[in-house]
Amino acid sequence: MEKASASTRAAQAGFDQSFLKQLEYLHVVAKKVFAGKSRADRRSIGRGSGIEFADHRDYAPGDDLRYVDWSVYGRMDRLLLRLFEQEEDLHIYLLIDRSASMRIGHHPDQPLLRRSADGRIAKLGYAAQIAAALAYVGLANLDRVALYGLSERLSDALPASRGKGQIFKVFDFLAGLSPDGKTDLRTAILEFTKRVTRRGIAIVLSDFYDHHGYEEGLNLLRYHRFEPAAVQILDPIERKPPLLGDLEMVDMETGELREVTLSQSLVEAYQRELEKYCDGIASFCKSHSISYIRAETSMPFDELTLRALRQGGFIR
Amino acid sequence: MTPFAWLGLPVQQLAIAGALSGALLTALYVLRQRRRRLEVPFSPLWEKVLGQSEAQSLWQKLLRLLSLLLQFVLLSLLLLALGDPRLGRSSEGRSLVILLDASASMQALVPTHVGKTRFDLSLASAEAFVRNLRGDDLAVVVQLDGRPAPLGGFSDDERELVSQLHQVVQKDTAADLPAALALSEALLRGRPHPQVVLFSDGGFDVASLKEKPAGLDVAFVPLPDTATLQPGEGNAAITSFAVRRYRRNRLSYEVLLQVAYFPFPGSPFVAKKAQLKLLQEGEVIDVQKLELLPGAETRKLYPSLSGSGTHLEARLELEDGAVDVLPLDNRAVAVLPERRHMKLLLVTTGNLFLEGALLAASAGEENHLVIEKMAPSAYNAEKAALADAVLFDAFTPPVPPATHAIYLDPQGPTSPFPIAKTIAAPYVSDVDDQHPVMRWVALSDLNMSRASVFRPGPKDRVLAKMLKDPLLLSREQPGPIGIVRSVAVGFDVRKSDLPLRVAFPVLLMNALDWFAGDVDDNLGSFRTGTPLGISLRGEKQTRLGTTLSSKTLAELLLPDGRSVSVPVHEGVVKLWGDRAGFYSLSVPELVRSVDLALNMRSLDESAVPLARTLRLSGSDLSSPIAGQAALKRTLWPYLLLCAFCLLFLEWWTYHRRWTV
Repeated sequence: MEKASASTRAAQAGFDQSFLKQLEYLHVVAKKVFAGKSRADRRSIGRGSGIEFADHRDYAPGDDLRYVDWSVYGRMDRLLLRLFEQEEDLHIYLLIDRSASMRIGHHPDQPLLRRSADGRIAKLGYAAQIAAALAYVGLANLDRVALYGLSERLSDALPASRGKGQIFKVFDFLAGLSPDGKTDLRTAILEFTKRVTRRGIAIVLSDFYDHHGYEEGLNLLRYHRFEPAAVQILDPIERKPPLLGDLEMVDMETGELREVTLSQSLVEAYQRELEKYCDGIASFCKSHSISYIRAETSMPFDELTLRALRQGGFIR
Repeated sequence: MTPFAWLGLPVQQLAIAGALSGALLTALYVLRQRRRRLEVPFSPLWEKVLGQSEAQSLWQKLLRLLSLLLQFVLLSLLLLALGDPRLGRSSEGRSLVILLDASASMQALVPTHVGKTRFDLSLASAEAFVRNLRGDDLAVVVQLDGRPAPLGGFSDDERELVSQLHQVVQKDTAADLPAALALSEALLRGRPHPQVVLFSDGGFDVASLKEKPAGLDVAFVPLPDTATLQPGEGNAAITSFAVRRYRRNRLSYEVLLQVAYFPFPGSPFVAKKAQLKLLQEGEVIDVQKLELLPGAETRKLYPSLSGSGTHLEARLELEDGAVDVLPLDNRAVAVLPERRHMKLLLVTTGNLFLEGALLAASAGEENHLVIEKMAPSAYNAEKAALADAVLFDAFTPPVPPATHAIYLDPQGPTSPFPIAKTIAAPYVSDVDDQHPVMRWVALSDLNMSRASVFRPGPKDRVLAKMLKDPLLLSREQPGPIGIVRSVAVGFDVRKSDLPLRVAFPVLLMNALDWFAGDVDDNLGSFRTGTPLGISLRGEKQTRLGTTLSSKTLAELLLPDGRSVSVPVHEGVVKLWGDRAGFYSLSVPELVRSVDLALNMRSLDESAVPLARTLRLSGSDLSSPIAGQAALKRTLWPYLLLCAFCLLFLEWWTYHRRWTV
């Protein structure tokens, strides 16, 4: 009964059969893209007791003597320990920003996750679609996928699960997200790192409009040995506000008011500033080996997902 | 010269309006406007941008101040426009009275301009003149007809003057040029450079051209040269139309018609064939073929006509396709007094002289006078009230009858005419021959054995007297049938030689006609352009006991079907008829309406002369000096134009986002 109602909620939110078909198609295409690879399994960079040699390291007292490379000792008179790649389940963490600023693009008469007649969709809805697609691909590859909602803190969570059958839980989780609160990536990710012990890929789906700065949050993921990736989601209307003249400007997250008189030149200055801000995120990610994709909600989500997969940083 | 004159709202009102609207404008400006709401996802980005635009913010404040300033400028322009400022006049400006002839002759068609009348051409000339006035000129339009009147005030506004010109209405009257010139002189008195400009066909009677007010400069604008007269064309006119009932038999009447033909100069002296129709109540009762000699009047008499209709009409038409340029005088109308019997109650012991005189007055096969004889002993007031008139022969009723009456030698205390004394062998020294009863009555050597001397009351009029002693009186006083009239003779006719005189039956006939109200001199019609006083006092009223109010309103139905209210003062309606045709007066108190007929009846107008030059008071009138195009003095259109331009500029800069 509970399962049925959850399914209905997900369908109403936009995760219906046609969406599922789209995901299946995406999965097939993704497989073709990565044809030639033996399995969709991913090798972790953690060193352990696998069978494939990975590296050496200096021997330390207490290490298992079975892994000492005696041939190297014979040639170089130095005790080195052989390290093997450890094969393990891949964990994919999808961190979805559900702050109030993610409401942009939402049409009041439409469910949050559906596109309205004019083709617009809330940023949160778009993020949910991308998350669903990535989760489906991960689940189908027998990876462990977990989802989290972020705002001022880590608010919602779907524990890691594996197998395509879990996709409906994912849908239900995503359908239950609603935009609210301020963005505080640092606090939310810190909480995430405390809660999650298994390392894996952490994909942050957000607009990165954090009044405290996005850098610390992303760095926290790196410090805790996650493989972070950033998907910045923007609405086209953010680039060009629909109104000019005397306006009352309201910050969607803080509720802060300011009376302004917008002119075309001011809008152009704002566009330059926004571009600079986005370039700043991209530059930060690049310099810290974080995969980064900027997406506008006008782009179809499957196209973006494929682009993300092609970028190759998320899934091998 | 004053730089500005304010002809619109007074300065005080403008100041109040300006203060109020300025305060309102400022209040609206100071009030915080409701701003539209714009939700942004990340305000720090905007903060950076807006922080950089502090200088722009100052510019925005300046723009808002400029916006307020612009609104004040617009308000000032509108208030100034309401004040209707005019540029001051220079000393060169003329003061002009434009006399536009609207007399009957101006209705004449102009054969060289199909469908146009002389008035149309004159109006066009006057309009062109007004449009070319100099900016300093002031002018007023005066309608020139039988009763000239200005159609507005002096103005330098072209539209106003053209509007005044279009208010001129053609009338069926002759033009009173002396009155128009006197009016013009009064209008121009004390004004700089006065001049009268006369637009006319020049068709005025000779007498009116003899004099003009001293020092008045009059210019004449004739009809255009293209409005020429064609030899062989002219105007046929009914110059006179009179109708009257016979005095001895009011059931029959006779009609007198005079017609004439006025050819244009240069036309051959050839008689024009015409057809003259006489209609009664719209039905043709006579048609005659005439030959009209140029310049001569033809007279036609229609005797012994009868019929119950009272509305007569005569129509004249030229035959053989001859052109008649003035249709107005081809039709004439007349109203006959109502055909009615008169019931006379004769109260007498027997008087052959009296009966003989009445017999003479009412001879004829069909007679309007119905006489009933009654002895004094059989007299009763109720029966007397049923008669139209009562004749008391040497008998004085105890109470005067409620109808018209003739008292022959009334006696005693019940006499309605108090007797002061009796004199023997009197003679008549004075007769009031202006009274209808005494018309054609000669009493100068009348012999009487004795006579009563009356003491006249306030409503009595002495008709005949011996020195200061009234012997014959008439009286008019309100009564149950309207005005009750009576005549008193102070002597016994049998003891005088009056019955042997022609004056006796004439006196009786006059008295009875006076009672019936058939004493008017209009002969069935009046002339347009003359003041009329129509008395309603002799008319029968709606119910017994009512009297015509001293001040009431009558409805006057005009020939064109319009109805206007006219005041009735003491039973008399004063009218000015300037349209030919039938008029009808109705008053609620009267049984029936009173009909009138008006005809143009002016030989000067019917002659339709066309003058190229006009000689007034011995000197030829010159043409007016043409004006030059100049800046019009009215400033409010320019002020509104400025306001519009400013609004457009504001709109343009707003939509170009220069002022946002």
